[in-house]
Amino acid sequence: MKKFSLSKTVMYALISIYSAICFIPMLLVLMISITDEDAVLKNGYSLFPEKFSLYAYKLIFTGGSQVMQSYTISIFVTVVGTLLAILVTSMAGYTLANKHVKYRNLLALYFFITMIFSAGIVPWYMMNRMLGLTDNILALIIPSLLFSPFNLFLVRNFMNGVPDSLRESATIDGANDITIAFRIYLPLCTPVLATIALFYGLDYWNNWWNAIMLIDDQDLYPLQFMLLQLQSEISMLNEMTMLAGTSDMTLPSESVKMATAIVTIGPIVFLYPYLQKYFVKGLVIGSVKG
Amino acid sequence: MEKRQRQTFGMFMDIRKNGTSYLLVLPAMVYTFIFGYMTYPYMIIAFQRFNYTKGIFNSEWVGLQNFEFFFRSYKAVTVTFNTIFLNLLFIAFGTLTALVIALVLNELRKKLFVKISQSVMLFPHFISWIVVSYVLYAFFSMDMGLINKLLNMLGIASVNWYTEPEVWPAILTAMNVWKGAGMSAVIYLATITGIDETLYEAAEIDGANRWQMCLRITLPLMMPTVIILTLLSIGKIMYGDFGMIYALIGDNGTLYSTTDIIDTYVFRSLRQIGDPSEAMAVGLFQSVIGFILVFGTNAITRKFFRDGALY
Amino acid sequence: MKKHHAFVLTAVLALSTLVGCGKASDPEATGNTGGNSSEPQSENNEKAAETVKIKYLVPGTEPKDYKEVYQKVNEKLAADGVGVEVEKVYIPWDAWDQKLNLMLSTGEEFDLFHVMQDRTPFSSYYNRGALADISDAIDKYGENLKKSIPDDILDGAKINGNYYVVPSYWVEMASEGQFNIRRDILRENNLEEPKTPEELISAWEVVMKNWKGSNKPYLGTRADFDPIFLHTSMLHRTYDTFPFTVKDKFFYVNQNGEIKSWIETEEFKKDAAFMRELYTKGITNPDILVMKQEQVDAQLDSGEWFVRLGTGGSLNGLKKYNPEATVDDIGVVWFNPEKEYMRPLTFKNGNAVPVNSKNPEAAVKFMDWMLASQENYDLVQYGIEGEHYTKDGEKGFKPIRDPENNNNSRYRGSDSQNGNVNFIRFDLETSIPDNNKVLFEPNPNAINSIAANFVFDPTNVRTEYTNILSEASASITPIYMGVQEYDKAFPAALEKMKKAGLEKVMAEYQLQFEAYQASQK
Repeated sequence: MKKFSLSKTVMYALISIYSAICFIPMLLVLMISITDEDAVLKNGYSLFPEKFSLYAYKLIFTGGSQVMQSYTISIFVTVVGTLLAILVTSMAGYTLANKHVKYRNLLALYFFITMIFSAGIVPWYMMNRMLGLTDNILALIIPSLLFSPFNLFLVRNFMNGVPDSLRESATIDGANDITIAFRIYLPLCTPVLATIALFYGLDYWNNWWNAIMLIDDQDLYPLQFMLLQLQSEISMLNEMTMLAGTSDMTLPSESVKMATAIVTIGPIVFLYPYLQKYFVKGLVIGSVKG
Repeated sequence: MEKRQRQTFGMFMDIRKNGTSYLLVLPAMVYTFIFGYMTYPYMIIAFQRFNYTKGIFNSEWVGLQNFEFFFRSYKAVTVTFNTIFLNLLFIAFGTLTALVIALVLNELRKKLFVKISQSVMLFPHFISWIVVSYVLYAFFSMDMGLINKLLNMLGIASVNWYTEPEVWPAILTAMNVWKGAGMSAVIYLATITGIDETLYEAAEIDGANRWQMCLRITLPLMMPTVIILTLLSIGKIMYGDFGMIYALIGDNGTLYSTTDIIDTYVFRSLRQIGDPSEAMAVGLFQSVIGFILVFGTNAITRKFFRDGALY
Repeated sequence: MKKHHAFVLTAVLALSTLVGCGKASDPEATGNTGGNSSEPQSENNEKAAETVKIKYLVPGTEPKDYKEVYQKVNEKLAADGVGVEVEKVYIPWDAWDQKLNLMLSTGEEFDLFHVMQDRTPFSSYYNRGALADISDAIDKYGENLKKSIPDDILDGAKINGNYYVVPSYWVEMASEGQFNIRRDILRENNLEEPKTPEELISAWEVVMKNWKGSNKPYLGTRADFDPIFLHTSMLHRTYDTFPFTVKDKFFYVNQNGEIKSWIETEEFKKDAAFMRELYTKGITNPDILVMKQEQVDAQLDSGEWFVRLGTGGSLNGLKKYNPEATVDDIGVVWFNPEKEYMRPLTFKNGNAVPVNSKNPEAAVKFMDWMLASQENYDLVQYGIEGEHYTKDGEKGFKPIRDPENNNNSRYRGSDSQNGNVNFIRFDLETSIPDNNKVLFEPNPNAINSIAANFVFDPTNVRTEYTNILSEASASITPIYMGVQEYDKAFPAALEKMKKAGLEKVMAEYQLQFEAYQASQK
């Protein structure tokens, strides 16, 4: 017997519509990226390309070894950075959620203030220089990305929901905070850890700022930076061509812009479904009660 | 003196008692200290008339003069209002949408559908605002925009959307929600996952239906998360989304009355002059106000809803 | 990172020098040092016969063969006994302002950087104390500079009698005031080249009506109220009060030294009326207020345009619309060609030495060496002959295109950054001869605006200046672009401008200009 539920149908419909709204622009981006540039200029954006062309992708990937290099750098930085970031954040989150720590709210304030106050690029840059975080791989991992108070609060909040009884029984058994944090809390918090993994991962993957400001060595440029360079070079070249009427061929800026977006998203589209499997309840919380 | 000594003493005791906990939080604290607090002394340039050759130690002090350019401008009120108003709209609608999405997704059984739609909802996050501005243009363009074409088909004259300031707060809110709701929903979904299953089981035994369970169990237990996220957003309420506004509105002066925010206003103003002191002064202003607002809202939250408070 | 950007952009131009402090003495590893000679940091004094290495910062992307070409450049520098070695550091356009400001603030060592007057004039850097006085260097080592750059243009590089920048005389600024027109489209519609603004409008109307392409040939440009930026200065030639010009967006200056508030002049009103007609007749792009540079470029590139204020367009673009097009199908039109040709400013680009450079003379020597011979110039701008280009007669060149490099040559310098009209070469096959003539040939009969070299320092009226800039783009631009009607909208707009401090700024400008004039006597 099939259960027909009006509200269920409405809900499926709602989600479908919203998903469509999110999907179609992306589809448009994809379509433009494989459209011949001249067709784009003539007809504007369209879901149905008049003429196909993979030229934009060719442009991006004919960097050859350099593109491969930047992909490697990006992947390395993202993986290592995200793992480190999760570690630092979740440890701190534990402490902030630990009811035994009397001053945990003061600590929370300590972190929160840095979310609101910022002294700008210059001292940031000077600090990095002083610490030697320039022109090496660490410069892509540590500054600005390694720890986010926002994510910290997410973790703390989640951990607040873990029953204290778990900690109590573990303490009785002689465990210290470190053991409790890693053996008990972390496994229970996989949903929020997956969440911050997503956020940190995205931040690392999309970040080109650190590269621009701190790196001069071409071999260390992450993917985003290369793509950004490509785009801005193209638009500047085009602008100058127009201005001075000089001869250089114009490069396909519209389709390249879109292709850049697609190339960027690619790996992430694979990351999220992978993370989704962590969005399940951690070890049965209820088992404590029994 | 007594009280302070007692407090510091109290702090020491706490560290001794919870040594390992403090150890766990140490890396984050060190990081924040280095990249946060240690850079703050630089903010004094907001009170100086800056000069490269003289540097931070020798540039002359001008007190509050750098704040003048912003405050003396009769625009200060408008852009501040816009910043706060738009951010409030973003917070309100963004939270609502993300909540609804999370709750609804939680109810659906078809796993594949849920997984796919969750992924798809993240897509807007990846499209840069510049690209979004082009897509928007395709809709709202006077000449070839889809909306005007639709209106024409219905016999209504074309509207030059890009010169009508009143509609833009709505458009901007819609765009902001579209771009961010998917991500926020992820957070809410994670929270929902963390809710104890046995609560639902008990409620089911008591005869509650899904709707009641949602209202009485899920929603209240999500409140701490919702409140935290809201508080965090309030802290940033004086900071507009520069990337979005600049990409979508750009230099279109006719829309400034409702869409110009502090960040874009300052950016335009200082583009050619490039005065670092003035930029820092405005930034300081934004931070201080934001902080005061959070402090206030947090205090209120502590009274009524302890679990959700920030600190 | 949204959060980060918000902070960053609020302090977007934050500059500071903790002179000495925080400036680690380690030479900032700039990665590859290229295949240059292995001279270690000989940056300290007493370097009689040693080679000085200089670092030159420019916006852009490093060309594929940069290292190879600059190795040759440095070899020739050594062979010519100049004693300088150059390393060029390319900074992506998007990050140019911020990274440059950062490097200036933190006292990093570099010796030369590019300045774009319309983006951030060198006076702005000067006011922040960032520039080195290079007067001595220019006197001693600037022989070729003085030969290839006219005195009155070099004068523009002076502040209080001292040189602070090396101007690039790569475009003849007296080219201001013309526009490009499509001769092929004129022919198509049996139209004559318009000689007056009214004729232009009627010709355009005909073209719009008969247009067979998919995108109408609107007037497409970024919106502003500055006639120099927009090149609506082409209209000014038709006014009786010509010659005059508009400096720094707000200040009308005629050759008698009279200063008026530009937006309050009759000439502004006339310009606005013309633009209004274009708009109401459907000639201006209806979305003109939101047009982005990419869209403007895209229009030019698609070949679907008829008139472009100022110069623009390429043969490639033309051919997309009209496959039969030739380089002569873009023509330069001057209204009232018999009137004078005036330079509103003397140069648009230049290169300056930062105050913390240890080698200002070396920097100037390099700039000078570039203009010492066509051979030097060719090497820096076009690359290695036979590999990157071949000569095409005396003034031409043919780039050698590399199919692996998207059909672009593997090296190209930048004429705009450090070029000179006396040496510049053209791609004769695809560049537009009319444009080349008007832009890149020195005009010996040109006169300079009386305020051409005057640099306004807004420091005393910072508040008001930033406010009027802001207010103008909100309320004046729509009027100037013709989107709003002058009579209806201007009075209110003017009120707003006055509230923002227009009068105070005008007074300050007047004061400074009079002082400038007095000092010129």
